[in-house]
Amino acid sequence: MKKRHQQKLVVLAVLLFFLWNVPFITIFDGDGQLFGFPIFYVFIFLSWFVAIIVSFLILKKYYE
Amino acid sequence: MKKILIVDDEPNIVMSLEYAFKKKDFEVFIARDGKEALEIAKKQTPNIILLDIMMPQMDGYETLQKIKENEELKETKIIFLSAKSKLADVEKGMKLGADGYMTKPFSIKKIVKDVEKLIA
Amino acid sequence: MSNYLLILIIVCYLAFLFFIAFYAEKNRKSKWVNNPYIYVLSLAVYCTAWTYYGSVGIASKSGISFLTIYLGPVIALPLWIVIMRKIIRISKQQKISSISDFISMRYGNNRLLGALVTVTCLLATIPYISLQLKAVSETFEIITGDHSYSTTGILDDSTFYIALLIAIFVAFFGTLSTDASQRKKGIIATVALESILKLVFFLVIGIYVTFYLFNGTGDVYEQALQTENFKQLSSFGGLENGFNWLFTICLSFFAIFLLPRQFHVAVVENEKEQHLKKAIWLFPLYLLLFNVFVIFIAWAGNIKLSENVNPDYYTLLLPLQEGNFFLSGLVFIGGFSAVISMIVVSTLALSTMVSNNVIIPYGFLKKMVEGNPEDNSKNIKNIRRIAVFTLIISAYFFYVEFSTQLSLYSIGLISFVVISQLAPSFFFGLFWRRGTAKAAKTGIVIGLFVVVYTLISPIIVDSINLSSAFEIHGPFGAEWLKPSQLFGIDYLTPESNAFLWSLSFNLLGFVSISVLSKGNYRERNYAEIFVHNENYENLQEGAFVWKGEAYVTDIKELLYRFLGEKRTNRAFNIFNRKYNISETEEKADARLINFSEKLLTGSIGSASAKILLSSVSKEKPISLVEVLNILEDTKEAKANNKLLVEKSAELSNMANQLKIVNQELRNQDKQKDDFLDTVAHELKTPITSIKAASEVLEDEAMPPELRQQFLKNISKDTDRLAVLIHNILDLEKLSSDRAELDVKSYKINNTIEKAINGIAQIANKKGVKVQFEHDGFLTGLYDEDRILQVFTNLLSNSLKFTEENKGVIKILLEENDETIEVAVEDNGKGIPKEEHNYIFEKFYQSKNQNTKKPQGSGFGLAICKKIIESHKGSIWADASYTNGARMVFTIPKLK
Repeated sequence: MKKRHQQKLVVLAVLLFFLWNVPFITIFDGDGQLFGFPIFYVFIFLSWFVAIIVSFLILKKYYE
Repeated sequence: MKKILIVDDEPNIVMSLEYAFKKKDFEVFIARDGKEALEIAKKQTPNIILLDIMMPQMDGYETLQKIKENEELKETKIIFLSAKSKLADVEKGMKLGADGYMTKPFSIKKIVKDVEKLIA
Repeated sequence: MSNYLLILIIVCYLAFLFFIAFYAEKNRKSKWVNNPYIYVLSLAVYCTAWTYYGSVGIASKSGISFLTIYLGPVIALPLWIVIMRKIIRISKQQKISSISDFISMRYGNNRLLGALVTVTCLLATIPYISLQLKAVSETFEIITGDHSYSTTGILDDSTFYIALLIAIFVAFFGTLSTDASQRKKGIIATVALESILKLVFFLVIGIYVTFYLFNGTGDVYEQALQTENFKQLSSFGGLENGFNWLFTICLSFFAIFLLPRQFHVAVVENEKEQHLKKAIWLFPLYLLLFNVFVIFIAWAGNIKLSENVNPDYYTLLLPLQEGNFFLSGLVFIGGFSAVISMIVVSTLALSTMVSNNVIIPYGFLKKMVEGNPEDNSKNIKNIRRIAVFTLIISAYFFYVEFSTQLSLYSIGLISFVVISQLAPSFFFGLFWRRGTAKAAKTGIVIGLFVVVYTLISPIIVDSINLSSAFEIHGPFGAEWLKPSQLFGIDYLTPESNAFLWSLSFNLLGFVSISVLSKGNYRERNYAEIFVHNENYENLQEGAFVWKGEAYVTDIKELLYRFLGEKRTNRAFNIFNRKYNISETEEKADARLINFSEKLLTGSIGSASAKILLSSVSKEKPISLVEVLNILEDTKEAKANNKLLVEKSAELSNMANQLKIVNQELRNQDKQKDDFLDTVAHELKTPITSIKAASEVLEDEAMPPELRQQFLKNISKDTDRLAVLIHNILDLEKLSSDRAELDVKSYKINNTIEKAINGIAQIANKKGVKVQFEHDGFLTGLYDEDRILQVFTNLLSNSLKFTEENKGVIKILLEENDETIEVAVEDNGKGIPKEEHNYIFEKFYQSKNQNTKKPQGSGFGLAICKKIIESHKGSIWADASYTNGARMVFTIPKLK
């Protein structure tokens, strides 16, 4: 895997780190729910899932 | 009268040979290819055959072998006439049992002399 | 459920695991045990009883913080493509078998550091194992409804026996080979299977609770809204809580790299680097699935169960409340799987560390140098087996002594805090060359001290009921030294507090000592190998710098004791062949020293290996500058060598090409010869005819009409010669692309008419009809004279081969996208199938070289082909046409 593509995964990790910490995380610290999931969990689980999809796609495309 | 069979598919060459041998009182037969040559040879049992090698359908080598197989044509002498002038070609012809090998272009006078010597 | 039945189930389950492990060991090469999915599932050993039971407990009492344990790894996994890949490469290269080997190797095979790391791992893992035992024992009680066991004494406690069974399992499958870096397929297969079981059973209970006991997630949420403190369970809390959140994420981030069991499954048991490709996205998915139902089970428990039950065990209690023993049995087995896999891998990793980094280098080394290989191998295995039992039994006693007052969650976090003390020396060691052994040791010791002070001492003080003044007011009444609120920061949880201060001091110690003092050359050497791993990957033994005197026989003798004569000799043969060293070489060089160290490292650990080898060699001091120079030189030599290899490959490539070209030239030469033969033959025929005729003409008695005939023959043959010579020259010109085309746009119809006019006379004479049918004018781009030549050739061929008065020749036109297609067909005798491919070859002589080619196809078609090709068209004989011959060619159309 080329360095450039490895860095995409690194960026993803950094992004997750900032997304899941204060102050960003407090944006979703509110009332409300979706299918019984409080909005906070919706945010965490959704970004978690998106991260999986993104890393899957990056690896599928660029891992030699 | 001596009989000679000339086998070649080039009519102009045949014409010259025919004239030269008729002049020497040969009875001259002409064939345009190997097959025709065999038929005429069987019928006429010529004393000598002048045989071209490169011919359509059956080549000279094969014709010679077929003639040699025939008991009645045992006495018939055969001279190859060919443009193939490499030593290997000459050797091949002689090995097959030819009595002479003339490379084209040849001298008519020399052929006539050789033929006369062969069947004297 | 009766406890005998449950014990029976447990025994059956363990027997099943033994069988699986046994089967996997027997089929080590099978793809069932060697695939990326097994690797991913074995990583899931991260999910222990803590995940299985503890998460629910946290979610039901304090809310979101259970997530942090998984968010850290999820952030870490994408980084694995850089970090884990590097760790795996280094470890494979250096035959590393544990994290303490890894760290001590990085800092120059430092024996004390290896031991220190091992101790840290023990501190972190033993309470963690006891946490697992606690979970087993407590769930056992819940299922059987029997509360007496934990209090009646050890020998009556079923947990004790379960621990023993697990110890037997590890001792058996974990020590099949003395080489600890050898992969343990059996154990990994069971771990992977258990990872499936625990996830599936947890999902089953999650679905059961949410969709069977309630009407889906929305329903649970609605009902939970009514419970007390619900808002707190589903929200983040204040900014201050953000620090706890951040620190716990950091803790779990480190844990996924540093926990001995994680290092073991991710690095030591890694079969192929490519497995990372799956792990990086699949492992976070596994964790996500494990977390989806946690909150619903927790809320359901809050709604349905009384307040005085332990919320950790909601998963068991909920089905039990409904009288569903089967389901609670499943949950128990799932939790049990989580426990077993954790204990198995942890003790396996720890026992290797204890034996290779503590017991052997500090106690047994001398004895082993004198022993024979069988005894040594037996001893090493026994040390590991005893370590396994000791570990599990200590964990059991720890559980008996301490665990009653601690929840699963807090024991787990204490372990994380302890293990994170390795983070500075581990991560900095990977990317920073400067770090030294002394700094690593100092950092770890300081860190551990702070952890003990801030986190463990209050617990000990608590459990032995000393006066709590120390805890509340700090030692000597100094408030700012209060363990759980060091320096007066009062909003952190005890774990976050301990993490913050221990890691700060640890890091400070590590960095400052690294900067202040230089390491010795060995440390610098390994630092370089680790940090710039990509430079030395191909150097292997060559990357190791060593100066001194050692004799091959001494080293061999040493290796005999550990590997046995056969394996040693085989290894030496491989080594000698690889580096092209004569077998009679007496002195050992750096590469042999490193090679032997690696061989020993698998069996007795890196520190011991270094000690042993220095006992049979006289090492000379070497300066740091020299180390770096030598490394640079080897790198260059390797690069030069690589250049040489490339050059030689290039040369052999060129030689091959030359061979091909030569062969081609020879073929062309042969073709040229054949061509000349044919030409000579073609020329000789008219010459013979002319010569013969002129000889005959000498006869003066020849009748005049005959004389006329002979003269005419001579003239005809001369013409024939002239045409032949012209054709030959033409063909040569076309072949060598010297012919210049005068391409313009012409109406093809006109050209065809011209061609027909050219042969009309001969055709009329022979009574052959030439037809040209067309319904429109087509314009092409071509040289008209050349194309006329093609038509003339084709038409005269057709004329030659058709019968007098019966022959019909047709010319047909067809328009394609880019080209005009012209067909010339006749009803003559046609071209024999086998000749189709050859008729256009100028050098072709049919197989029987003595038979003449079909009359007229001498050079004509070869010339046609050349002309058409120089127009970028093609020409062929239509094999599907059976009525005679049909020749087709294409020329470019005017667009």
